[in-house]
Amino acid sequence: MRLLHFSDLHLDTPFTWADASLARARRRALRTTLRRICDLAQDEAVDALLCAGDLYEQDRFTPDTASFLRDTFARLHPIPVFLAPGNHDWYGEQSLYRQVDWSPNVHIFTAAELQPVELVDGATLWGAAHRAPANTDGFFDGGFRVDRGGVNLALFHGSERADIRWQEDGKAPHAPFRTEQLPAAGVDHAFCGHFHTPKDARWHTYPGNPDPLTFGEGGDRGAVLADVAGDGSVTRTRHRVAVSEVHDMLVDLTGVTHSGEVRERVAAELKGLSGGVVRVTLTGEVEPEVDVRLSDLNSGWDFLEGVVVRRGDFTVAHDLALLRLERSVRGQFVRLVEGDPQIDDDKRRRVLTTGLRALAGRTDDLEVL
Amino acid sequence: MYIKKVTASAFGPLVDQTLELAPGMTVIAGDNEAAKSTWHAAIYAGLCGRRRGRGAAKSEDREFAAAWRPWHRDEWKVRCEVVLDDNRTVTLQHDLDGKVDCRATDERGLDLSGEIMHDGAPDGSVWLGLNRRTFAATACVNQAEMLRVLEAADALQTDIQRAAATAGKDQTAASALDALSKYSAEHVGMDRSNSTKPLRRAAVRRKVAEEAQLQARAAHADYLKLIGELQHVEAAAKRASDQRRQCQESFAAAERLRRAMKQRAVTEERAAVARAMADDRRQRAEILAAESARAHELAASLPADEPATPGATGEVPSQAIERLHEHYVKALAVAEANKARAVEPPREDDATLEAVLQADPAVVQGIANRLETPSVEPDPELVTDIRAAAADQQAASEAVAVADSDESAAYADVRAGHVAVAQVAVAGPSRSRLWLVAGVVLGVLGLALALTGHPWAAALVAGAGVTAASIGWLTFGGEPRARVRETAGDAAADARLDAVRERARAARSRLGETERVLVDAQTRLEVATSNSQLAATRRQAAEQEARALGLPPDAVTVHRLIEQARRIGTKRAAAHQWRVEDAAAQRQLEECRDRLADALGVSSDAKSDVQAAYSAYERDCQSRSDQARKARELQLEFQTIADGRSLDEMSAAAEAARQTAEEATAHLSTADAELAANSREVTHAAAMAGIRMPVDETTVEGFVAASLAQLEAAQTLESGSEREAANRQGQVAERKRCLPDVAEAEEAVDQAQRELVRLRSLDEVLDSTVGYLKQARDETYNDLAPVLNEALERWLPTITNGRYQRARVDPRSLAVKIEVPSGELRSAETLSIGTAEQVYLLLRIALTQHLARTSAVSPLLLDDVTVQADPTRTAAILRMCKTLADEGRQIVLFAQEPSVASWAEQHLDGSRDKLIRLTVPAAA
Repeated sequence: MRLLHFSDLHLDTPFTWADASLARARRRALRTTLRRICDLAQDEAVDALLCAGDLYEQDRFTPDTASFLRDTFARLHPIPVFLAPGNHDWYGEQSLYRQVDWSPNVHIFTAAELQPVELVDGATLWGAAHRAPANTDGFFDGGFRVDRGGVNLALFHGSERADIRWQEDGKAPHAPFRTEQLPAAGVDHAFCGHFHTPKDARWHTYPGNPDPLTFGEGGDRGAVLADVAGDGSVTRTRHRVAVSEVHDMLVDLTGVTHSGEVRERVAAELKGLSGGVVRVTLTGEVEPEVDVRLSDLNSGWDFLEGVVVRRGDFTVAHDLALLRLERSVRGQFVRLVEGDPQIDDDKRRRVLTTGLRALAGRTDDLEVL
Repeated sequence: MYIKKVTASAFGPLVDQTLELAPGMTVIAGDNEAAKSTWHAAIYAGLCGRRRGRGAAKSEDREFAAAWRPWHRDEWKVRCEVVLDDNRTVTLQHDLDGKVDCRATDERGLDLSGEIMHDGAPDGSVWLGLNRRTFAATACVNQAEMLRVLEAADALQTDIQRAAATAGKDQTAASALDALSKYSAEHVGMDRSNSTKPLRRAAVRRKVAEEAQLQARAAHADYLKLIGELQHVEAAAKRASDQRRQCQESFAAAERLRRAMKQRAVTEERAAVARAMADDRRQRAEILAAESARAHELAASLPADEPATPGATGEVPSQAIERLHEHYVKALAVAEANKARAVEPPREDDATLEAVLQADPAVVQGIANRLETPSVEPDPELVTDIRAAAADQQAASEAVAVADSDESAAYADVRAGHVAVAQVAVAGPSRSRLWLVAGVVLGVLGLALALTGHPWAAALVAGAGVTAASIGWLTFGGEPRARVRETAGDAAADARLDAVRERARAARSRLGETERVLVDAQTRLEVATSNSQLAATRRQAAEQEARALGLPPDAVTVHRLIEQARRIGTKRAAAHQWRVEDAAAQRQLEECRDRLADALGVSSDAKSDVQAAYSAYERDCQSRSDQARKARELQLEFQTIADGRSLDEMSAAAEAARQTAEEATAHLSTADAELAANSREVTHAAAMAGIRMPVDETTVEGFVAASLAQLEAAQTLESGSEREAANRQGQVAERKRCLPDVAEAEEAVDQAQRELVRLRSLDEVLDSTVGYLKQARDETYNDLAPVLNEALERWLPTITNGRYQRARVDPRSLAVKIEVPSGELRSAETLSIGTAEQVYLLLRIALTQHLARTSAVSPLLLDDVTVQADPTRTAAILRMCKTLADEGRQIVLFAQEPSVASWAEQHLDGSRDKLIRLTVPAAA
């Protein structure tokens, strides 16, 4: 039996790190990714397509998304599609899941407890839904145990407790479970969602969000093609299905002498890329005289979907050790700023640079990164 | 520290040249092009070196290189030997181009570069607490700076402030603060309602974005709510639809039950009919089978041939004999009847009668009739009437005459005097009487003619008489009237006249009447006379014809003869008829007898006794008749049964009837099965409808009506629910069209928030920067002002030869004020230029000393600072420099004026001071 598993697509999610047009493009990319997942399901002739929640975001979904989902899954017919709502696409009265006149091949798990569906003869898929955006108890906490033989698989949106530590910050432990609960409940394998970082564990699989939602997402994210053997063992193959990629670039500006050279450094790093979104993090130390402005670097990269520039550990190379010895106003300024325990380092850095630029006569560029 | 020696290995035009400086004051004099500025730069470069930091060279570095790179050598090197305050002699070697071979070593060769590294290269000014930038800004004073201070108002203060701010030539603290304020105002602004600056705009944008986000979320929540409501409404509509469907199904079940029951009733009737038909067909088949069997039996028992008729020829059928016998009997009866009524013709001997018999009866009858024409004589009463009428007419005529006379008399009385009138009256009546008399005469004559048998002449005469009488009458009456009308008299006469005239008119009327009666009577008399004559004529003609026929001219006789002749004729005809008929009867009798005899086969001689033969024949026939009757009965039975059919046809009919019976039986079975099926359908339909069996039609009809009512109610509910659902669907569709994108709204808020945070952070940074900068300025000024003040007060009396004793440096602005002899404090810039120059140099020296982080005394490099000064000012500057040098400070003064060189020759003793004369190199 061959299954295709994905989760955490987060259709209609906001991309606050992007400007309006790029954000819209990212949301379109999410839809294209789902199309790719469905194409992959057809190409691989899977027995079922599984989605382990957070397919869309209840608080933000558009009516168009409802139509899109219906049409997309209908095109898969007769391949079954099993949807287990998560904490973002929780199943309720106003849920998108209830608005759509789904094609016959779509099955939505709507109960808060694991419910069985026969995948093929001798194989059962247990699925459950989040019925609220939060406070969903673990599906295995109530002593759940499968009541039938054959291969028993599970599909749900939940947090493996051991993974919480290394998963993304801010991930609330929705529907938590422990790995050992799975075999104890008679589940041969669980196809999960919620954690965006992919993980192929002995008893469960997190496919990760298939299309980038933000920067810094590592790992082999995408859709997981799972071949389930008769003994319940699972052989997994990961497929990248993202439309575009998100790159994180560090650009060292050390030694640049003018703003044009700053852009040249960035261009050199971006060279070779085609498409995708790149986050450029500026690092290094530049001379105080060099005019480095983020606004100069955000645009003009037509070969990319978008570029987001941010300041990393980029600093201006003031000789503060020498300046602080000066008995001038500047020296006193440096000493005052450096000696003030009330301000944080970032502000201290910015105030120092701002003041020194002002004293140096760079009155047109007093905003410090 | 002082600079002991500078060697320009390759520096501008200088190649491997060394300049040794005195620890005190060194005056380097030379004309233009004597390399004074080159050596000034070489001394600075030899002490401070060049920046060797990362990145490209700064503009000032590039300018320096452009000015002082060796003209003819690739390498650019300078070396400087300094003596530190601790008496160490350090050699600073700078590879100004490659920046590689840069180091500081002491006499022992110890590399001291690490002590004084600045911007990548050893910087000897670091030992002074300065660096190559601040050294240049403070310890190096050139002509241009001097000129700027002297020429511009507040330039001295600004220059001091600038130096105080950055120990260099950058911005003053005030200008930096001003720039920060301006930048803040332009790029941040205030967060006030009337502001149009970025911070306010960002705040407004965030507020707008937040409101849009709230609206988007509310719209989305509202949309979800609408969706939820729509789902409820659709669920209600679905329930209503289900209910309607259930009612429809219930109604359909009721209808089905009703149809089933009706169908069952129909089927029951059909089954009954089929059963009756099957019985009928079966009975018919049995009958036909029996008939067929009987027919076959009869057919088998019927004789093959008809029985022979005895006595017949064998060719004549018995019925023919019967008819022949009947004919014979009838003919015999006829013949006998004829004999019984035998008629004999009458015998007549009368010749006259015989003549009548021979003549044409019609002619005889006509003669007889004409002979009967009566002799019509005029009625005697007519004559009497005529006479009476004539008498009456005569009397009336007389009465008229009397009346006329009376009238004339009366008229004469009336018109006694009118003689003419009277004459006329007399003449008139005379003519009238003549006409009347003529008429009467003619009438009488006519009457006579009529009586004599001349009616036409009588009529003519009588007519003439009537005409004459009429004329007389008319003329007799008219004239008197005319006259009367013309007369007038007295009333009595008139009345009498009128009465007379009335009587006259009555008399004349009577006369007319009598005359008409007379004429009428005369006319009738004339007609009667004419008729009498005509009858006589006809009788006479008839008499002649009678005679011609030999008949008596007597009508009665003729009539009697005619009657007799008719009776005789009738008898004769009857006798003749009897004879004819008798002969015919005899012939008929004989013919019938012969035919009968022939039919009976009687021989000719025995024909007379044909009756006996026939009786024998009858007896024989009776015998055979019995047999034939029996055969006929059988035949009749057979024919009745067969009814014109053959045995095969009857067999076939019987077989067909049997098959029909079987088919009817099968049809009955089908009908029974159908009935059973319908009964089951009724049971099933009743079960579907939820009605317990048995059920009657009334119950079903009631159930159907109730189901229909429920269905209509359910349909009403369904249509209402569907309308509501459609309405909600419309609302949802409308909401869909204008539903804002929550994600975009959130992104907009995030963008606006980030911008606002950026601006607020910038604002905070700028504010903090301003605060720190102000604080640094104030503190620096507070520290610097006393130092400057002390330096001025120490040196000012000396260098101004006691003219100015005191000075005051404002700690808030570093403004320098000098107390003039009057005790007034004046701004240094308002003093004489020479004094200002001296004050400026003092302040630069003080600043240099203050900004230096160490106690080491910095050399002072003055480049052409006296070039714009007059001899007095030049002398004052030189004295001040000498004084400072005497205090232990190294002063290197470049000058081109001969007076300076002269002053140096006079005042520099050569121990700690030195005059170096530079010469313009010879042109290569």
